[in-house]
Amino acid sequence: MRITFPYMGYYSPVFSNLFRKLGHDVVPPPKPSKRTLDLGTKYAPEFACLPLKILLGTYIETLEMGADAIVSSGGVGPCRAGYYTRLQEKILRSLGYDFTMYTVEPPKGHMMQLLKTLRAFVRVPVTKLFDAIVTTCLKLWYIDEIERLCHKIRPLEVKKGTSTRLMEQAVAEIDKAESYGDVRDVGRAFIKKFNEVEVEDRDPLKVGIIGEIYVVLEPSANFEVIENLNKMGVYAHRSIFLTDWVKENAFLDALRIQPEKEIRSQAKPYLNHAVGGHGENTIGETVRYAKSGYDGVIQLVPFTCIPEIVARSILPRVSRDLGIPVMSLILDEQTGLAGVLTRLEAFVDLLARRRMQSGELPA
Amino acid sequence: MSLVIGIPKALHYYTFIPLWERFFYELGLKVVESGATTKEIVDMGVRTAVTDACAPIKIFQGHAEWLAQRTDVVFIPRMVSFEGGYVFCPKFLGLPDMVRATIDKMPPIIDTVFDLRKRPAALLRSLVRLGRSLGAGQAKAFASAIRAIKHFKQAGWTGYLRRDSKPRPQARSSAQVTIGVVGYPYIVHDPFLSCGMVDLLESAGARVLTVEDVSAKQIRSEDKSLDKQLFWHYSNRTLKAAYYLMRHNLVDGLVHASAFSCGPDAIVGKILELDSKYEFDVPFLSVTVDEHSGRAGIMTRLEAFLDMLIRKKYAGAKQQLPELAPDGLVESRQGQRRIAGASQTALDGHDEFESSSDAMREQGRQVS
Ligand code: SF4
Repeated sequence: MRITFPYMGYYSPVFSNLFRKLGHDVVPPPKPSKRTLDLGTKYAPEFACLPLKILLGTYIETLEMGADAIVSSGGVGPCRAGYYTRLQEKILRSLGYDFTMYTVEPPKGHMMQLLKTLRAFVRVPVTKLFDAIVTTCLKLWYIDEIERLCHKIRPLEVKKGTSTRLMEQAVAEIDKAESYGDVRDVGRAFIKKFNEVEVEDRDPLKVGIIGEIYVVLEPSANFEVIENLNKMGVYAHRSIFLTDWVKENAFLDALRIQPEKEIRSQAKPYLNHAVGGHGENTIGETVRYAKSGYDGVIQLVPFTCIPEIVARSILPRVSRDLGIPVMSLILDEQTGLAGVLTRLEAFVDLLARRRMQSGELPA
Repeated sequence: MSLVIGIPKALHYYTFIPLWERFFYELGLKVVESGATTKEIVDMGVRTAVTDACAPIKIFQGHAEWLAQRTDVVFIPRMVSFEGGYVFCPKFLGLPDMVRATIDKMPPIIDTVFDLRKRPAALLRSLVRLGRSLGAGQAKAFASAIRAIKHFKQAGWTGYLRRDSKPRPQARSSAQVTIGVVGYPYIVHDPFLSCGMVDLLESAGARVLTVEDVSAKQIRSEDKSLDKQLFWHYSNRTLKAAYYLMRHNLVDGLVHASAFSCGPDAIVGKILELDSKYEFDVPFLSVTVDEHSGRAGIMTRLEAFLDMLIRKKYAGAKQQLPELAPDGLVESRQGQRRIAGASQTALDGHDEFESSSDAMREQGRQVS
């Protein structure tokens, strides 16, 4: 079995490694390119969202490279993403590809199916499996920690490019680390290195990044919004990190521990019901960012994404009530980098002006 | 003075109105409906809704705003789930909030939650709570709810459809070709949004079957054809009704009417496109509408599709109908459309035609 899976930022090599440890050949997904999106757009329904198109394109590329099994996540709705693998499977088969699709359903209500899926592609003894999973979790956790730091330090670094380079090194080293202890040592070392980077002493503009999970997590799907903001000297806080999300949605849910539903209560006055995907979070996070003194919020919306459209309809009211500027970036195959950069610059200008008016020195 | 309740004629209205209407009637409350979708209503909706919302949502917002100026409260229930554990499109889930956030002078909104996933009696409970919040006593609310639910059951439950435009022509003798027009009721049966698709096909002599012509039992019989059910109420109904029509050979062709940028339909449409081709071998046409779709373009595409179906059907029935060349028929059919309404007469003359479509009509009857 030659396994492939969706590309997702810095996490991809870690997953490749995990599958190898489980005893499989892996076809690592290439970073989504113009060709990926073109392929996806060509065969996906017109009004499918950007993530579906990118993933479909990625699968076509990896199947061409010889993969014969795809592992991806499922879901219980109401967001469409939960049905993706079925639709993608249908489309890919109609194109003549032969492969097995493994859909990892969330444990809640699908425990048996999840175990069945796991059984199908775990080829190593349980102890080894356990070890592999624990190490992988730690890797993901460190990558998240370091990326968080990177977002904070990059806008302020004196020598431009230091943080990005450190980040890439960190991912490569963490990926190479074999044992639990190694990962921890490498992780700690890089956190230390990051804290030693020389930074300017100022209070940068602060922007929260919210929206649909895939386009928030995958830089190539959002025109490297965070890096670009950082380059403009703006601190961008990403509201979603994979480890937090998995913790809340998979483990705690399965154990029936209700994770802290604070975000839900934050969204309450504006949105009184879950609408799937990250719709509710988008509202709740905006309220939270406003209350913790952020200068602005950027919402990343794949064109036709249902939960984010619901959120987008409501955001202007939140923005007005709490006095925090919100910009929605709608992403599809026709969005161009130049346009995005122009809008980012205009938004940052606006935020800087607002800060100036409120009496503080601009960033 | 009693409260005037406004009910927007959009989205779930098309299937749930008997329930709401009867309930408010039993409570002795006055109801005002927003009436057919008009240009004015659409314009209002377009102004308040976000640009990338689907047309049905924009139109809903238009209806809601129209009512805002005329009623004391507007009834926008939060439809979460009604049948089989399926939820409604997320836009339904956030509907009251979207309206509240985007329309400025909105009167109070009644946003009772209808979520029948948790327990079967939830419908009754929700209605009773709604009645009480409108000032009725427990006993009255309860009795009204019971009566309304009973009425809704008789009316056809979720398969109900108000046909208040005009009775569907039975098209008994003129039916040559049967077309399944599948899609959400608030698209297919809103003549403004669908550009009168159903009427158009019928007046061109075709027989039309919609999702509402397929019974609940027939729809349920298709549950097994999906190894993972879709999540959404109307999408499941649409997809399964289409499967049923195709599997039982009840239609010569299938038209999927969907809204521009509709999320769930991206999935439903693609599945239909692939399955109609590879599994059922039924000609398929997808028509996407939005709030300003031109009637002309849609008409041309439907006509071309119909012509193709007629020709295809003809090719199979050549021996029976030697004297009628396909092209001649197309000619005469288009000729009739111009004198709309009188479309049936000319074709009625062709007895041969009737006989060829007898078998089909027979099958069709079982559905309708
Ligand atoms: S199902 Fe489609 S058309 Fe209906 S509200 Fe949802 S997105 Fe709009």
